[in-house]
Amino acid sequence: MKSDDTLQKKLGLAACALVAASGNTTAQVTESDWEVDTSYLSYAESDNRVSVSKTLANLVRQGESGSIAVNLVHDTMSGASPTGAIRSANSAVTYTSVSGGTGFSAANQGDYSKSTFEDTRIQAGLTIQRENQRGLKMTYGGVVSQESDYDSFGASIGAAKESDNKLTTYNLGLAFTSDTIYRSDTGGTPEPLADVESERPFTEGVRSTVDTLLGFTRVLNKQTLMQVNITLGQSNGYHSDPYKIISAADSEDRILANFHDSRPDSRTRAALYTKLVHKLKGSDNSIQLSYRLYQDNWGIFSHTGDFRYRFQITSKQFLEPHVRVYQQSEADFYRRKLDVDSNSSPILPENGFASADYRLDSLSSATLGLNYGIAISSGTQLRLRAEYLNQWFSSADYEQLGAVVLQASFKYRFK
Amino acid sequence: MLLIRFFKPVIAISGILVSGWLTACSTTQDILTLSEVKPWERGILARDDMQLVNDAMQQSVDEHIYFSKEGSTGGASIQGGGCGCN
Repeated sequence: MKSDDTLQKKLGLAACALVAASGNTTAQVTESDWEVDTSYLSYAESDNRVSVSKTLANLVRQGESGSIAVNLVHDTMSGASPTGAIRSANSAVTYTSVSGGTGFSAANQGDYSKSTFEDTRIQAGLTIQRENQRGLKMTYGGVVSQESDYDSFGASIGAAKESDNKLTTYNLGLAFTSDTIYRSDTGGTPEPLADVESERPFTEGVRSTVDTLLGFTRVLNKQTLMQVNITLGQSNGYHSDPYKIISAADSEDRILANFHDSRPDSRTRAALYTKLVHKLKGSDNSIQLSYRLYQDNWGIFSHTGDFRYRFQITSKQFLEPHVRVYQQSEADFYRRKLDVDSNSSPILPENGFASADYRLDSLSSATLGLNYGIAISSGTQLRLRAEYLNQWFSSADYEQLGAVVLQASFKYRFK
Repeated sequence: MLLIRFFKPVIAISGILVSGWLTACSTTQDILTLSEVKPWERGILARDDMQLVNDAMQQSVDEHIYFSKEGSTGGASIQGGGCGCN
Protein backbone atom coordinates (compact mmCIF):
# COMPACT_ATOMS: atom_id res chain seq x y z
CA MET A 1 0.00 0.00 0.00
CA LYS A 2 2.78 2.28 0.98
CA SER A 3 4.57 1.70 -2.30
CA ASP A 4 1.35 2.35 -4.26
CA ASP A 5 0.86 5.60 -2.35
CA THR A 6 4.39 6.69 -3.18
CA LEU A 7 3.92 5.83 -6.84
CA GLN A 8 0.59 7.67 -6.90
CA LYS A 9 2.24 10.72 -5.33
CA LYS A 10 5.06 10.59 -7.85
CA LEU A 11 2.62 10.31 -10.75
CA GLY A 12 0.64 13.18 -9.33
CA LEU A 13 3.76 15.31 -9.03
CA ALA A 14 4.81 14.39 -12.56
CA ALA A 15 1.37 15.35 -13.88
CA CYS A 16 1.57 18.66 -12.00
CA ALA A 17 5.04 19.27 -13.42
CA LEU A 18 3.79 18.58 -16.95
CA VAL A 19 0.84 20.94 -16.50
CA ALA A 20 3.16 23.57 -15.05
CA ALA A 21 5.64 23.08 -17.88
CA SER A 22 2.99 23.34 -20.57
CA GLY A 23 1.57 26.38 -18.79
CA ASN A 24 4.99 28.02 -18.89
CA THR A 25 5.41 27.29 -22.57
CA THR A 26 2.05 28.83 -23.38
CA ALA A 27 2.87 31.82 -21.23
CA GLN A 28 6.19 32.31 -23.02
CA VAL A 29 4.55 32.35 -26.43
CA THR A 30 1.97 34.90 -25.42
CA GLU A 31 4.19 37.00 -23.17
CA SER A 32 7.24 37.32 -25.38
CA ASP A 33 5.69 39.33 -28.22
CA TRP A 34 7.52 42.59 -27.48
CA GLU A 35 10.62 43.10 -25.42
CA VAL A 36 12.67 46.23 -24.84
CA ASP A 37 16.18 46.22 -23.42
CA THR A 38 17.73 49.57 -22.54
CA SER A 39 21.17 50.28 -21.19
CA TYR A 40 23.43 53.11 -20.09
CA LEU A 41 27.20 52.67 -20.05
CA SER A 42 29.99 54.85 -18.80
CA TYR A 43 33.53 54.15 -20.04
CA ALA A 44 36.30 56.21 -18.44
CA GLU A 45 40.03 55.86 -19.00
CA SER A 46 42.66 56.83 -16.48
CA ASP A 47 44.64 60.10 -16.77
CA ASN A 48 41.62 61.86 -18.35
CA ARG A 49 42.06 60.04 -21.62
CA VAL A 50 38.97 58.83 -23.49
CA SER A 51 35.58 58.89 -21.76
CA VAL A 52 32.41 57.64 -23.41
CA SER A 53 28.76 57.81 -22.40
CA LYS A 54 26.77 55.22 -24.26
CA THR A 55 23.00 54.79 -24.40
CA LEU A 56 21.55 51.69 -26.03
CA ALA A 57 18.07 50.39 -26.78
CA ASN A 58 17.01 47.08 -28.31
CA LEU A 59 13.40 46.50 -29.28
CA VAL A 60 12.51 42.93 -30.21
CA ARG A 61 9.27 41.48 -31.47
CA GLN A 62 9.07 37.71 -31.29
CA GLY A 63 6.61 35.94 -33.57
CA GLU A 64 5.82 32.28 -34.21
CA SER A 65 8.09 31.97 -37.24
CA GLY A 66 10.73 34.55 -36.45
CA SER A 67 11.61 37.87 -34.91
CA ILE A 68 12.43 41.46 -35.76
CA ALA A 69 14.82 43.59 -33.71
CA VAL A 70 15.69 47.27 -33.85
CA ASN A 71 18.90 48.40 -32.19
CA LEU A 72 19.83 52.03 -31.43
CA VAL A 73 23.11 53.35 -29.97
CA HIS A 74 24.13 56.89 -29.05
CA ASP A 75 27.71 57.65 -27.95
CA THR A 76 29.24 60.88 -26.72
CA MET A 77 33.03 60.76 -26.57
CA SER A 78 35.57 63.22 -25.25
CA GLY A 79 39.04 63.37 -23.77
CA ALA A 80 42.59 63.24 -25.03
CA SER A 81 43.92 60.44 -27.19
CA PRO A 82 47.55 59.56 -28.00
CA THR A 83 48.49 60.91 -31.44
CA GLY A 84 51.42 58.56 -31.94
CA ALA A 85 54.00 61.36 -31.57
CA ILE A 86 56.65 60.51 -29.03
CA ARG A 87 56.23 61.92 -25.57
CA SER A 88 58.75 64.69 -25.66
CA ALA A 89 58.65 68.40 -24.92
CA ASN A 90 61.86 68.73 -26.93
CA SER A 91 60.53 69.34 -30.43
CA ALA A 92 62.02 71.20 -33.36
CA VAL A 93 58.62 71.30 -35.08
CA THR A 94 55.11 72.27 -34.11
CA TYR A 95 51.90 70.44 -34.73
CA THR A 96 48.59 72.13 -34.26
CA SER A 97 45.72 70.02 -35.52
CA VAL A 98 44.62 66.53 -34.66
CA SER A 99 41.76 64.23 -33.78
CA GLY A 100 37.97 64.72 -33.76
CA GLY A 101 38.89 68.23 -33.63
CA THR A 102 39.63 70.45 -30.73
CA GLY A 103 43.44 70.13 -30.93
CA PHE A 104 45.84 70.67 -28.06
CA SER A 105 45.27 72.30 -24.74
CA ALA A 106 47.38 75.27 -23.68
CA ALA A 107 48.95 73.10 -21.05
CA ASN A 108 50.62 70.72 -23.48
CA GLN A 109 53.78 72.85 -23.54
CA GLY A 110 55.09 71.46 -26.78
CA ASP A 111 54.11 67.85 -26.04
CA TYR A 112 52.10 66.64 -29.04
CA SER A 113 51.70 63.07 -27.85
CA LYS A 114 48.05 63.60 -26.89
CA SER A 115 45.29 65.63 -28.48
CA THR A 116 41.87 66.54 -27.12
CA PHE A 117 38.69 65.66 -28.98
CA GLU A 118 34.90 65.62 -28.73
CA ASP A 119 32.59 63.55 -30.87
CA THR A 120 29.15 61.97 -31.08
CA ARG A 121 28.25 58.70 -32.73
CA ILE A 122 24.83 57.31 -33.58
CA GLN A 123 24.11 53.80 -34.76
CA ALA A 124 20.91 52.11 -35.90
CA GLY A 125 20.52 48.44 -36.74
CA LEU A 126 17.77 46.12 -37.90
CA THR A 127 17.81 42.32 -37.61
CA ILE A 128 15.15 40.02 -39.02
CA GLN A 129 15.04 36.29 -38.29
CA ARG A 130 12.83 33.83 -40.15
CA GLU A 131 12.54 30.11 -39.63
CA ASN A 132 10.99 27.96 -42.32
CA GLN A 133 9.19 24.64 -41.88
CA ARG A 134 12.32 22.63 -42.67
CA GLY A 135 14.10 24.14 -39.65
CA LEU A 136 16.32 26.52 -41.62
CA LYS A 137 16.73 29.76 -39.69
CA MET A 138 17.73 32.78 -41.78
CA THR A 139 18.99 36.04 -40.28
CA TYR A 140 19.15 39.32 -42.22
CA GLY A 141 20.82 42.38 -40.72
CA GLY A 142 21.63 45.95 -41.58
CA VAL A 143 23.45 48.63 -39.59
CA VAL A 144 24.37 52.27 -40.15
CA SER A 145 26.72 54.32 -37.99
CA GLN A 146 27.72 57.95 -38.24
CA GLU A 147 30.06 60.32 -36.41
CA SER A 148 31.73 63.60 -37.33
CA ASP A 149 34.56 61.88 -39.22
CA TYR A 150 33.37 58.35 -39.95
CA ASP A 151 30.36 56.83 -41.75
CA SER A 152 29.72 53.11 -41.78
CA PHE A 153 27.12 50.93 -43.47
CA GLY A 154 26.84 47.18 -43.01
CA ALA A 155 24.63 44.36 -44.24
CA SER A 156 24.72 40.71 -43.27
CA ILE A 157 23.01 37.41 -43.93
CA GLY A 158 23.21 34.25 -41.85
CA ALA A 159 21.83 30.73 -42.03
CA ALA A 160 21.50 28.15 -39.25
CA LYS A 161 20.40 24.55 -39.76
CA GLU A 162 19.96 21.81 -37.19
CA SER A 163 21.05 18.24 -37.80
CA ASP A 164 18.38 15.51 -37.90
CA ASN A 165 19.02 14.53 -34.28
CA LYS A 166 18.91 18.25 -33.32
CA LEU A 167 22.19 18.00 -31.42
CA THR A 168 24.27 19.99 -33.89
CA THR A 169 23.49 23.34 -35.49
CA TYR A 170 25.54 24.45 -38.49
CA ASN A 171 26.03 28.19 -38.98
CA LEU A 172 27.03 30.21 -42.03
CA GLY A 173 27.35 33.98 -42.19
CA LEU A 174 28.34 36.66 -44.66
CA ALA A 175 28.70 40.37 -43.87
CA PHE A 176 29.61 43.37 -45.98
CA THR A 177 30.73 46.70 -44.49
CA SER A 178 31.47 49.97 -46.26
CA ASP A 179 33.30 52.68 -44.28
CA THR A 180 34.00 56.27 -45.25
CA ILE A 181 36.76 57.97 -43.25
CA TYR A 182 37.71 61.66 -43.18
CA ARG A 183 39.01 64.30 -40.83
CA SER A 184 36.33 66.45 -39.27
CA ASP A 185 38.39 69.62 -39.88
CA THR A 186 39.34 69.15 -43.56
CA GLY A 187 36.73 66.68 -44.77
CA GLY A 188 39.51 64.63 -46.37
CA THR A 189 42.44 62.45 -45.39
CA PRO A 190 46.11 63.41 -45.26
CA GLU A 191 48.61 61.88 -47.68
CA PRO A 192 50.01 58.78 -45.95
CA LEU A 193 53.57 59.21 -44.66
CA ALA A 194 53.64 62.87 -45.75
CA ASP A 195 55.40 65.39 -43.55
CA VAL A 196 52.76 66.99 -41.37
CA GLU A 197 54.13 70.46 -42.14
CA SER A 198 53.89 70.07 -45.92
CA GLU A 199 50.93 67.76 -46.31
CA ARG A 200 48.77 67.42 -49.38
CA PRO A 201 45.15 66.72 -48.46
CA PHE A 202 43.55 63.75 -50.21
CA THR A 203 39.86 63.06 -50.63
CA GLU A 204 37.97 61.02 -48.05
CA GLY A 205 39.08 57.43 -47.54
CA VAL A 206 36.84 54.48 -48.42
CA ARG A 207 37.18 50.93 -47.16
CA SER A 208 35.16 47.80 -48.03
CA THR A 209 35.14 44.72 -45.83
CA VAL A 210 33.76 41.24 -46.41
CA ASP A 211 33.51 38.90 -43.42
CA THR A 212 32.51 35.26 -43.47
CA LEU A 213 31.62 32.90 -40.64
CA LEU A 214 31.57 29.12 -40.67
CA GLY A 215 30.72 27.31 -37.47
CA PHE A 216 28.67 24.85 -35.50
CA THR A 217 27.18 24.45 -32.06
CA ARG A 218 26.94 21.02 -30.45
CA VAL A 219 24.91 19.78 -27.49
CA LEU A 220 27.46 17.60 -25.70
CA ASN A 221 25.15 16.43 -22.92
CA LYS A 222 22.18 17.63 -20.88
CA GLN A 223 24.18 20.40 -19.28
CA THR A 224 26.88 21.33 -21.79
CA LEU A 225 26.85 23.23 -25.06
CA MET A 226 29.88 23.88 -27.28
CA GLN A 227 30.43 26.35 -30.11
CA VAL A 228 33.20 26.46 -32.71
CA ASN A 229 33.50 29.28 -35.28
CA ILE A 230 35.98 30.18 -37.96
CA THR A 231 35.74 33.75 -39.25
CA LEU A 232 37.61 35.12 -42.23
CA GLY A 233 37.69 38.78 -43.21
CA GLN A 234 39.13 40.72 -46.10
CA SER A 235 39.17 44.52 -46.24
CA ASN A 236 40.39 46.75 -49.04
CA GLY A 237 40.85 50.51 -49.23
CA TYR A 238 41.90 53.17 -46.75
CA HIS A 239 43.20 51.62 -43.50
CA SER A 240 45.35 54.45 -42.12
CA ASP A 241 44.19 56.64 -39.23
CA PRO A 242 43.87 60.23 -40.53
CA TYR A 243 44.62 61.65 -37.06
CA LYS A 244 47.59 59.53 -36.04
CA ILE A 245 51.15 60.67 -36.67
CA ILE A 246 54.60 59.19 -36.18
CA SER A 247 57.64 61.18 -35.08
CA ALA A 248 61.10 61.11 -36.60
CA ALA A 249 63.47 61.70 -33.71
CA ASP A 250 67.12 61.42 -32.86
CA SER A 251 68.62 59.13 -30.23
CA GLU A 252 67.73 61.64 -27.53
CA ASP A 253 64.09 61.69 -28.63
CA ARG A 254 64.30 65.20 -30.03
CA ILE A 255 61.52 65.38 -32.60
CA LEU A 256 62.76 66.56 -36.00
CA ALA A 257 59.61 65.93 -38.01
CA ASN A 258 56.19 64.29 -37.78
CA PHE A 259 54.66 62.15 -40.50
CA HIS A 260 51.12 60.98 -41.12
CA ASP A 261 50.11 57.41 -40.32
CA SER A 262 50.50 55.02 -43.28
CA ARG A 263 49.15 51.46 -43.39
CA PRO A 264 48.69 48.87 -46.17
CA ASP A 265 45.54 49.19 -48.27
CA SER A 266 44.33 45.67 -47.57
CA ARG A 267 44.04 43.40 -44.57
CA THR A 268 43.17 39.71 -44.28
CA ARG A 269 42.02 38.38 -40.91
CA ALA A 270 41.30 34.89 -39.61
CA ALA A 271 40.00 33.81 -36.21
CA LEU A 272 39.24 30.47 -34.60
CA TYR A 273 36.76 30.84 -31.75
CA THR A 274 35.49 28.22 -29.36
CA LYS A 275 33.09 28.52 -26.45
CA LEU A 276 31.77 26.16 -23.81
CA VAL A 277 28.68 26.69 -21.65
CA HIS A 278 28.23 24.26 -18.79
CA LYS A 279 25.93 23.93 -15.78
CA LEU A 280 27.86 22.67 -12.81
CA LYS A 281 26.82 19.44 -11.18
CA GLY A 282 24.97 19.69 -7.88
CA SER A 283 24.19 23.39 -8.12
CA ASP A 284 22.35 25.95 -10.21
CA ASN A 285 25.61 27.68 -11.11
CA SER A 286 27.06 27.68 -14.60
CA ILE A 287 30.26 28.66 -16.40
CA GLN A 288 31.08 30.16 -19.79
CA LEU A 289 34.55 29.65 -21.14
CA SER A 290 35.83 30.89 -24.49
CA TYR A 291 39.10 31.09 -26.38
CA ARG A 292 39.98 32.91 -29.59
CA LEU A 293 43.06 32.48 -31.77
CA TYR A 294 43.53 35.34 -34.23
CA GLN A 295 45.98 36.11 -37.01
CA ASP A 296 46.12 38.68 -39.78
CA ASN A 297 48.52 39.53 -42.60
CA TRP A 298 49.69 42.68 -40.81
CA GLY A 299 51.63 40.44 -38.42
CA ILE A 300 49.21 40.56 -35.50
CA PHE A 301 48.80 37.23 -33.77
CA SER A 302 46.66 37.11 -30.66
CA HIS A 303 45.14 34.92 -27.95
CA THR A 304 41.98 35.82 -26.06
CA GLY A 305 40.62 33.90 -23.08
CA ASP A 306 37.34 34.70 -21.37
CA PHE A 307 35.77 33.12 -18.30
CA ARG A 308 32.46 33.83 -16.56
CA TYR A 309 31.06 32.09 -13.53
CA ARG A 310 27.31 32.54 -13.00
CA PHE A 311 26.55 32.19 -9.32
CA GLN A 312 22.79 31.83 -8.88
CA ILE A 313 22.16 33.52 -5.51
CA THR A 314 18.45 32.78 -5.60
CA SER A 315 16.10 31.79 -8.41
CA LYS A 316 15.77 35.49 -9.25
CA GLN A 317 19.24 36.89 -8.60
CA PHE A 318 22.69 36.09 -9.94
CA LEU A 319 26.22 37.32 -9.49
CA GLU A 320 28.72 36.78 -12.31
CA PRO A 321 32.46 37.35 -11.91
CA HIS A 322 34.28 37.78 -15.21
CA VAL A 323 37.95 37.45 -16.19
CA ARG A 324 39.32 38.19 -19.66
CA VAL A 325 42.93 38.05 -20.77
CA TYR A 326 44.33 39.09 -24.15
CA GLN A 327 47.78 39.18 -25.69
CA GLN A 328 48.84 40.30 -29.17
CA SER A 329 52.07 40.67 -31.14
CA GLU A 330 52.87 43.94 -32.88
CA ALA A 331 52.03 44.76 -36.48
CA ASP A 332 54.96 44.45 -38.92
CA PHE A 333 54.96 48.21 -39.61
CA TYR A 334 54.46 49.37 -36.01
CA ARG A 335 57.25 51.66 -34.78
CA ARG A 336 57.48 53.90 -31.78
CA LYS A 337 59.31 56.46 -33.92
CA LEU A 338 61.28 56.82 -37.15
CA ASP A 339 65.04 57.06 -36.81
CA VAL A 340 67.14 59.80 -38.39
CA ASP A 341 70.48 59.50 -40.19
CA SER A 342 73.73 61.30 -39.39
CA ASN A 343 72.45 64.38 -41.25
CA SER A 344 69.32 64.40 -39.07
CA SER A 345 67.19 63.39 -42.05
CA PRO A 346 64.33 60.99 -41.28
CA ILE A 347 64.80 57.41 -42.50
CA LEU A 348 61.47 56.50 -44.09
CA PRO A 349 60.42 52.85 -44.41
CA GLU A 350 61.12 51.31 -47.83
CA ASN A 351 57.64 49.84 -48.19
CA GLY A 352 56.02 53.14 -47.23
CA PHE A 353 54.20 51.83 -44.16
CA ALA A 354 54.66 53.11 -40.62
CA SER A 355 52.31 53.59 -37.69
CA ALA A 356 52.82 54.50 -34.06
CA ASP A 357 49.21 53.68 -33.13
CA TYR A 358 49.45 52.07 -29.68
CA ARG A 359 46.80 49.49 -30.66
CA LEU A 360 49.23 47.98 -33.18
CA ASP A 361 51.99 47.60 -30.58
CA SER A 362 52.68 44.31 -28.83
CA LEU A 363 50.23 44.51 -25.93
CA SER A 364 48.43 42.61 -23.21
CA SER A 365 45.04 43.32 -21.68
CA ALA A 366 43.31 42.00 -18.60
CA THR A 367 39.72 42.61 -17.54
CA LEU A 368 38.15 41.86 -14.18
CA GLY A 369 34.43 42.37 -13.79
CA LEU A 370 31.35 41.64 -11.74
CA ASN A 371 27.82 41.46 -13.10
CA TYR A 372 24.67 41.39 -10.95
CA GLY A 373 21.19 40.62 -12.21
CA ILE A 374 17.78 40.52 -10.59
CA ALA A 375 14.38 39.58 -11.99
CA ILE A 376 12.15 42.24 -10.46
CA SER A 377 9.00 40.63 -11.76
CA SER A 378 8.01 38.28 -14.55
CA GLY A 379 9.52 39.76 -17.74
CA THR A 380 11.38 42.57 -15.96
CA GLN A 381 15.09 42.33 -15.28
CA LEU A 382 17.74 44.72 -13.99
CA ARG A 383 21.48 44.13 -14.58
CA LEU A 384 24.36 46.12 -13.12
CA ARG A 385 28.00 45.55 -13.89
CA ALA A 386 31.38 47.04 -13.20
CA GLU A 387 34.57 46.10 -15.04
CA TYR A 388 38.17 47.23 -14.92
CA LEU A 389 40.34 46.93 -18.02
CA ASN A 390 44.10 47.36 -17.93
CA GLN A 391 46.47 47.30 -20.89
CA TRP A 392 50.25 47.01 -21.00
CA PHE A 393 52.17 48.10 -24.09
CA SER A 394 55.65 46.93 -25.03
CA SER A 395 57.10 50.05 -26.61
CA ALA A 396 54.36 52.72 -26.89
CA ASP A 397 55.16 55.85 -24.91
CA TYR A 398 52.07 55.50 -22.77
CA GLU A 399 53.03 52.19 -21.23
CA GLN A 400 49.71 51.45 -19.55
CA LEU A 401 46.05 52.22 -19.96
CA GLY A 402 43.37 51.67 -17.32
CA ALA A 403 39.63 51.97 -17.92
CA VAL A 404 36.52 51.55 -15.78
CA VAL A 405 33.29 50.36 -17.37
CA LEU A 406 29.99 50.80 -15.51
CA GLN A 407 26.77 49.60 -17.09
CA ALA A 408 23.12 49.48 -16.01
CA SER A 409 20.59 47.62 -18.16
CA PHE A 410 16.86 47.21 -17.81
CA LYS A 411 14.80 44.69 -19.74
CA TYR A 412 11.03 44.76 -19.93
CA ARG A 413 8.73 42.31 -21.69
CA PHE A 414 5.34 43.70 -22.67
CA LYS A 415 2.43 41.45 -21.76
CA MET B 1 59.39 41.85 -18.05
CA LEU B 2 56.47 43.95 -16.88
CA LEU B 3 54.10 41.76 -18.86
CA ILE B 4 55.58 38.58 -17.48
CA ARG B 5 55.38 39.97 -13.95
CA PHE B 6 51.72 40.80 -14.46
CA PHE B 7 50.61 37.72 -16.30
CA LYS B 8 52.17 35.18 -13.96
CA PRO B 9 49.78 35.97 -11.12
CA VAL B 10 46.80 36.49 -13.47
CA ILE B 11 47.34 33.14 -15.16
CA ALA B 12 47.97 31.47 -11.81
CA ILE B 13 44.83 32.96 -10.24
CA SER B 14 42.71 32.17 -13.30
CA GLY B 15 44.07 28.63 -13.37
CA ILE B 16 43.34 28.09 -9.71
CA LEU B 17 39.82 29.50 -10.01
CA VAL B 18 38.97 27.51 -13.13
CA SER B 19 40.48 24.26 -11.94
CA GLY B 20 39.04 24.77 -8.47
CA TRP B 21 35.54 25.31 -9.74
CA LEU B 22 35.77 22.52 -12.27
CA THR B 23 37.08 19.95 -9.84
CA ALA B 24 35.02 20.98 -6.83
CA CYS B 25 31.66 21.32 -8.51
CA SER B 26 31.97 19.32 -11.67
CA THR B 27 34.63 17.46 -13.61
CA THR B 28 36.13 17.75 -17.04
CA GLN B 29 34.54 14.38 -17.73
CA ASP B 30 31.09 15.87 -17.02
CA ILE B 31 31.73 18.51 -19.62
CA LEU B 32 33.21 16.37 -22.34
CA THR B 33 30.96 13.32 -22.04
CA LEU B 34 28.90 12.99 -25.21
CA SER B 35 25.37 11.75 -24.70
CA GLU B 36 22.13 11.61 -26.66
CA VAL B 37 19.89 14.42 -25.44
CA LYS B 38 16.23 14.15 -26.34
CA PRO B 39 14.20 17.33 -26.92
CA TRP B 40 12.35 16.85 -23.61
CA GLU B 41 15.69 16.59 -21.79
CA ARG B 42 16.77 20.12 -22.69
CA GLY B 43 15.34 21.95 -19.72
CA ILE B 44 18.77 23.02 -18.46
CA LEU B 45 20.00 24.00 -21.92
CA ALA B 46 16.95 26.25 -22.36
CA ARG B 47 17.83 28.39 -19.35
CA ASP B 48 18.85 32.01 -20.00
CA ASP B 49 22.31 31.53 -18.51
CA MET B 50 22.96 28.51 -20.77
CA GLN B 51 22.58 30.49 -24.00
CA LEU B 52 25.73 31.14 -26.04
CA VAL B 53 24.80 34.83 -26.00
CA ASN B 54 22.90 35.40 -22.77
CA ASP B 55 23.20 39.19 -22.84
CA ALA B 56 23.29 40.57 -26.39
CA MET B 57 23.51 44.15 -25.12
CA GLN B 58 26.60 43.41 -23.07
CA GLN B 59 28.26 41.40 -25.82
CA SER B 60 27.82 44.16 -28.42
CA VAL B 61 29.25 46.76 -26.03
CA ASP B 62 32.23 44.57 -25.14
CA GLU B 63 32.98 43.79 -28.78
CA HIS B 64 32.96 47.52 -29.53
CA ILE B 65 35.29 48.36 -26.63
CA TYR B 66 37.83 45.68 -27.51
CA PHE B 67 37.59 46.44 -31.24
CA SER B 68 38.51 50.04 -30.31
CA LYS B 69 41.39 49.17 -28.00
CA GLU B 70 42.99 46.06 -29.50
CA GLY B 71 44.23 44.91 -32.90
CA SER B 72 41.99 41.84 -33.26
CA THR B 73 38.34 41.38 -34.21
CA GLY B 74 35.97 38.58 -35.15
CA GLY B 75 35.48 35.07 -33.91
CA ALA B 76 32.21 35.24 -32.01
CA SER B 77 30.32 37.21 -34.64
CA ILE B 78 30.88 39.17 -37.85
CA GLN B 79 28.32 41.97 -37.70
CA GLY B 80 29.01 45.37 -36.20
CA GLY B 81 29.08 49.09 -36.81
CA GLY B 82 32.43 50.62 -37.72
CA CYS B 83 33.87 53.60 -35.91
CA GLY B 84 36.81 55.98 -35.96
CA CYS B 85 37.48 55.09 -32.36
CA ASN B 86 40.30 56.73 -30.43
